[in-house]
Amino acid sequence: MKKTVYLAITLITFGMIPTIYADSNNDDLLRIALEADQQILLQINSIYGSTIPSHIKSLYEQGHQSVIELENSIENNSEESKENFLSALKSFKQISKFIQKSSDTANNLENNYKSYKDEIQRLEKFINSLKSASQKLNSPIDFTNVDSLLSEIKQKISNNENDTREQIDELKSLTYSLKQQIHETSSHKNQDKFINFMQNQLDQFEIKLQKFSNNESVPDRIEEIRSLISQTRTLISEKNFEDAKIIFNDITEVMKNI
Amino acid sequence: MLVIFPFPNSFGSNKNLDMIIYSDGSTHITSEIEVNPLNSNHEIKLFGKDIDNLLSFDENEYILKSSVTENYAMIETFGNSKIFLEYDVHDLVSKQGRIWTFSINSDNEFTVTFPKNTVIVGMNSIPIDTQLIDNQNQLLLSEGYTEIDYLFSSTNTAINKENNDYSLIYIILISLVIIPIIFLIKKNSAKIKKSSISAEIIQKHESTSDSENSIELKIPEDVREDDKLIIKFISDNGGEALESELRKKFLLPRTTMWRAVKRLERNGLVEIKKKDSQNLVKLRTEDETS
Repeated sequence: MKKTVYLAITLITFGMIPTIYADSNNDDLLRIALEADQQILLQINSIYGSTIPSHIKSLYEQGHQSVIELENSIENNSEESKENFLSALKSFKQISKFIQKSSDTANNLENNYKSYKDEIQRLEKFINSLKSASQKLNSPIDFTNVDSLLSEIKQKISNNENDTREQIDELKSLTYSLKQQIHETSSHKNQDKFINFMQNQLDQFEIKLQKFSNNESVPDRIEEIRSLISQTRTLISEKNFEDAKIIFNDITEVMKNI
Repeated sequence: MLVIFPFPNSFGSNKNLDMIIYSDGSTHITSEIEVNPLNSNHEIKLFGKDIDNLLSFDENEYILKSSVTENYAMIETFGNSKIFLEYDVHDLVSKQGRIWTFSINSDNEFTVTFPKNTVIVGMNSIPIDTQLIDNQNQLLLSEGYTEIDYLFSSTNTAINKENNDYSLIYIILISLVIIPIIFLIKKNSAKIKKSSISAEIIQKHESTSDSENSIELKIPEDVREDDKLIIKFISDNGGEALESELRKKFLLPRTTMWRAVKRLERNGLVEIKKKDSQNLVKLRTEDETS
């Protein structure tokens, strides 16, 4: 009740929040500024009550004035209205810094703010992306366990049951192993593309090396690269793609610095 | 000897960079990245160090191998010129007291969507564009350092409510003016009736056309549920919709919607045409699909 009275007094002191909106895109700027004005005022009142520090009061007056000027300028001068918007939001931002400092706990985002609901939403989005990738590959990857665990957890969360941590971790682990399976299938399907890419690149490297073969200052390095190229070709023919990639990356680096 | 190989370094910038902030402060990021097709892999700087659920795709939606070390991801791009990246990051938003602060330094412009029922209470830059979609602020911001403070509001409808109160007064005032005018108009009813009847006919005709615009669809069962909703929306919208309209409707990042639309195109359900440099997504008729 007391707070409401302070709010009412402050509203009268600082003037009512303007309420008329313009029609242009600046509408949203004005809306954001008005909401910020109102919320900052509520915060100030809830924290400081009737004893608002003078610097906060002054900052709020500046911000509020800019909101009024924003409203007045919005239909005529978009540059001026942008300046007013920025000025208002900067003033309110300064106030929020003071409010943050005066808060009891001033810590970075901690785990206790994290919500299981949001975590599951994100995980579900991730699972859907994996399903889409799996569908694209026509791979027989089975999402049944993931789906049933996901719906079980969602049910628990909607029932406000808090013992879902272990299940969420299990779901994550299941999901990541499916990701691995999908990736392996994807690599297999992409094999031809990969081999073509590697062979074309190795051919290009050899053409370039040919051009430099007469240069006496780097013959050893050229021989070394040729040997690496040959090794890579052998590994590709043996379908040892992982090792081929490693040597290929080494060749690329050496070619950059030759 | 100085040899310069054609290893262009103009690749790697994030295009169509979209961020969605969840109510617990974690942020889902999607982006499209141009990469050098001659390189075997590409290192990408991520927006944060606390990363989860990273996935990268090529243009055919094949998943690409990736690994994350601190705030860098190494993606195997072999021969691709464009890749898509999505991940969750947990350290872009900090919280002190009731105030949450989103801060980022981006080399490219980006959109950020705030959680439902939040109010922005401070920011250091002017957004290029702002929208309120389903009670969520979505801002398009320029490159550079951005810091935005926001808080969850239990009273965020207060302004609207106040507006409604004023609106009521306006309605009463307007009614006081309009009622006598209507009375006068009725006196000249013959003339006016004629025109209002034609207006009604036009309206009826328009509403008939609207209902005709909705297309009867047979959606294959194997189409994803979220894709079915997109098709339904396009159908209700007269059989076509801009990709930007779909993004707004479904509140999806550009790359996610782009992939969904490409998926529907591959399934032969839609075709994508250019309209004023925008993507127009049109449902394909049964004749076209068969």
